[in-house]
Amino acid sequence: MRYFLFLLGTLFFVSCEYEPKDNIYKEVDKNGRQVVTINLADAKDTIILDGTTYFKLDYNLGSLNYWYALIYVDSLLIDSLNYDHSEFFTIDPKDFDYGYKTLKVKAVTNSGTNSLADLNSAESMTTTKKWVLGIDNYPIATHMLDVKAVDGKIKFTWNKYTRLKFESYLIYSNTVGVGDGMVYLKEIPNRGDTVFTDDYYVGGNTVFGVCIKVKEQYSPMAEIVYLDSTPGLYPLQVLADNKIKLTWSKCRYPGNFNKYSLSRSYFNNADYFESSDINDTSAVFDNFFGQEYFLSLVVSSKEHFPNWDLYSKELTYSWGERSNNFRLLAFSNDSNIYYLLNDWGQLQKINRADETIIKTWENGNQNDWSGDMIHLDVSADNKYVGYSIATGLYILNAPDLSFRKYISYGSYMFGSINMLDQNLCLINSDCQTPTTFLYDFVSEDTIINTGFRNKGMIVSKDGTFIFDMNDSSVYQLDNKTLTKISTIDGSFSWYNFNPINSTQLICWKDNKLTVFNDIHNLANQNVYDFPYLPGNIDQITGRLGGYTELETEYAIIDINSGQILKKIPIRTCNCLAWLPHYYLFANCIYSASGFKLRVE
Amino acid sequence: MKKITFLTFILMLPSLYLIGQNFEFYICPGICHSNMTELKGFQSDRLRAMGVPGEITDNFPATLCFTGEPRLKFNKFSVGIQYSYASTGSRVSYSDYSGVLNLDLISSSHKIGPSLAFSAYNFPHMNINLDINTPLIFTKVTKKDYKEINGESTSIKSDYYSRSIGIQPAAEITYSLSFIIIGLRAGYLLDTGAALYEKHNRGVYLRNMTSSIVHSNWTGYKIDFILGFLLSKYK
Repeated sequence: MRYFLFLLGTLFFVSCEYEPKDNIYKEVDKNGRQVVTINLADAKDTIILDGTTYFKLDYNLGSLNYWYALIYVDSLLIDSLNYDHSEFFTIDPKDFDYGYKTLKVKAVTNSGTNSLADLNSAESMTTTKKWVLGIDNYPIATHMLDVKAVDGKIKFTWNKYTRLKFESYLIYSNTVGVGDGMVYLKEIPNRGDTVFTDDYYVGGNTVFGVCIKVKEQYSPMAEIVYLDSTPGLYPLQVLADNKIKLTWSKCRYPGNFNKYSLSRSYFNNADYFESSDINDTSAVFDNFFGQEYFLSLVVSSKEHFPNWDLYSKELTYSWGERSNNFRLLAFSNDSNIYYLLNDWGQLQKINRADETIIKTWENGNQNDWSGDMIHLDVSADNKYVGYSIATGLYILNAPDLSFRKYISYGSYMFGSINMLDQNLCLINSDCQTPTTFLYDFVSEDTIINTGFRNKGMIVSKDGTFIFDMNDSSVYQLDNKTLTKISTIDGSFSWYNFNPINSTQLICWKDNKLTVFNDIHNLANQNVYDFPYLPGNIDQITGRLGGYTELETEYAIIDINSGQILKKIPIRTCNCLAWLPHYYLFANCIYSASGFKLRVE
Repeated sequence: MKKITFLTFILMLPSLYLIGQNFEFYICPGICHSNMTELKGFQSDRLRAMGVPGEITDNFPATLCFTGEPRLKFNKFSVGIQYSYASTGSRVSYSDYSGVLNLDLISSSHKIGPSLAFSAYNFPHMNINLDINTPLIFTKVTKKDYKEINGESTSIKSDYYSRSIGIQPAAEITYSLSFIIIGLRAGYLLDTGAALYEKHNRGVYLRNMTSSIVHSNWTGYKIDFILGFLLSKYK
């Protein structure tokens, strides 16, 4: 018992350490906090950002201590300004999607209650301020909605631009192929005005565009295309009397319509058609044969591109199959047939009445036709047709254009040929060993060889008379004998016998047109003074023609009166420059380009 | 400190078998109060530095102490070894809606030393003695700071120790009932005081705001209720 009490007492006081007690509680007025204000310097309630923007915070903390500020855009923390009293932060709108956001600035300070937590920097007061922030990465293109023709004009619409910043819509248009690009039409300052009617459209492939303008920045252009293919060309109608009629559909847009213009390739303005009447939708032209040509119908406008052809339609037309570049032309004596020799050595026999090709002969030897075709002629009895090249002479049977003979000159030389009758031809050679000889290509017999001639000779169609330029004399040929009839003094540029009346010699002498009505009597002559240099003349039927020095005009002249019957503008073409032959036949003139014109 | 306590009582056991004298063992719960002057000043400094309007809610009050003493009784005097334990403390406190701040000092001492008691008056069953005790005082001061703010708490605790010598005169009156002795004793301890230092870093002392070293001091009165046991009586 004693021991038990002893041990009990020992244990009791060994474990009894004092514990301090009591606490005091102080009431602290939480509502006694000071009001803290924060603001953005110069900020409005709504702030539109169109570029990197610097913000400055203005604080009014009273006696509180500033700890830090947190900057949020929506719920995204973008910056933390620590307690070195930073006041500035920036926002770059490119970091955010377009639209309205909330800018929130949260300033954190001590609470100012002097509570235990406050004095231990563990209690804070936050003051939050919000602004509406508009993010506008402008401008972007709008969307075009619709384009259509309404009441003769083109109307198009687009999506209303909804971005925050907007100044105006800029309207443009451009017709493909016209001008140097989009043409400014109008500025529309009203955001809700999203319809535009183009008064200037008259047709064609046109792009309409809308740009958004904000200050000095412009969005990419939203575009929409409108195509109206009218007016359209209808097929040509071939009328009687060698005329053609072209018709087209009427232009649908009268508001800015200026005129129709119709042109044909290879013709000058004399053949131009123009009309300012929107209802005038046809034109009649003289028809012509030959190679293809283009008809272009152009619509032009009053405004916007008055000097431009807004758009055009073309069609090609050819009447008959003609080579584009024929070199030589010759008629049969009865005028029913003519022959064309083209650049590729094709000889075509053509029925003059309906322009149909009777026959075509191909010269298989390319060397024989490249560049040196000199002369083409038909015999008086219509049995033979021949043409000369630099090195020889081709004789073909006229009825079927079958090959008859090739006569080589023996060396390279230029020659001319006059087919007389049957098997005779007169060959003039004016090259290395110039000579002239009458040649029977059937018997291959030289009938007459005049020997050296350094100038040309020409024989009348009936083979009776020869005019020799070498002595300016007229000879009569009779049974292989040349008898001089007369000598003509003067300086000759060209000369020829009338193919119908062999006693009539027509020449350009002493810069005047001289017609010797009877070579037996040179006094019987008519002299005409023309204000241009003469061209060449081959066949004369009542009238003759010549071309000017500039080779831009033909003139049809009545040799009996010396009167200029018609001047024919010549469109430039290669063959005219090459061999400016033209031929008169009856009341038609054929130029070397192959165009046929009616002579009045 | 508990090892010393335990060792002390182990050493005291053989005294139970001393031959020829009355052997008494006293267990004396009592009340003691100490000045703790410098520790009180230390707490006052902490109150001023708190920054909040706190108070010293507990300031080293008189507390229960316990004394154990085996005593060998002779005719006119008795000798013994007295062991006593005392603990007190202080708190600087503040709390509000946001938190709690308690700065505590808990001071504990183990005193052990010889005691000598003189019988002033002997009556049948009642004695009046004058005794004196010279203990070695082993002091431990625990500094414990507790802070709780917005639900989050931190607690920092550190211990400081000191050793000092004291002298404690006392008067006691006892009454014997068979083998039980009851009585009352009143005394006053004079402590030399000693600097408080960290246990594992003897060069680090507990210092106050002026950087002066703080000393422990158990000087003060003590009143014990005596419950003794006569463990052996030889006639």
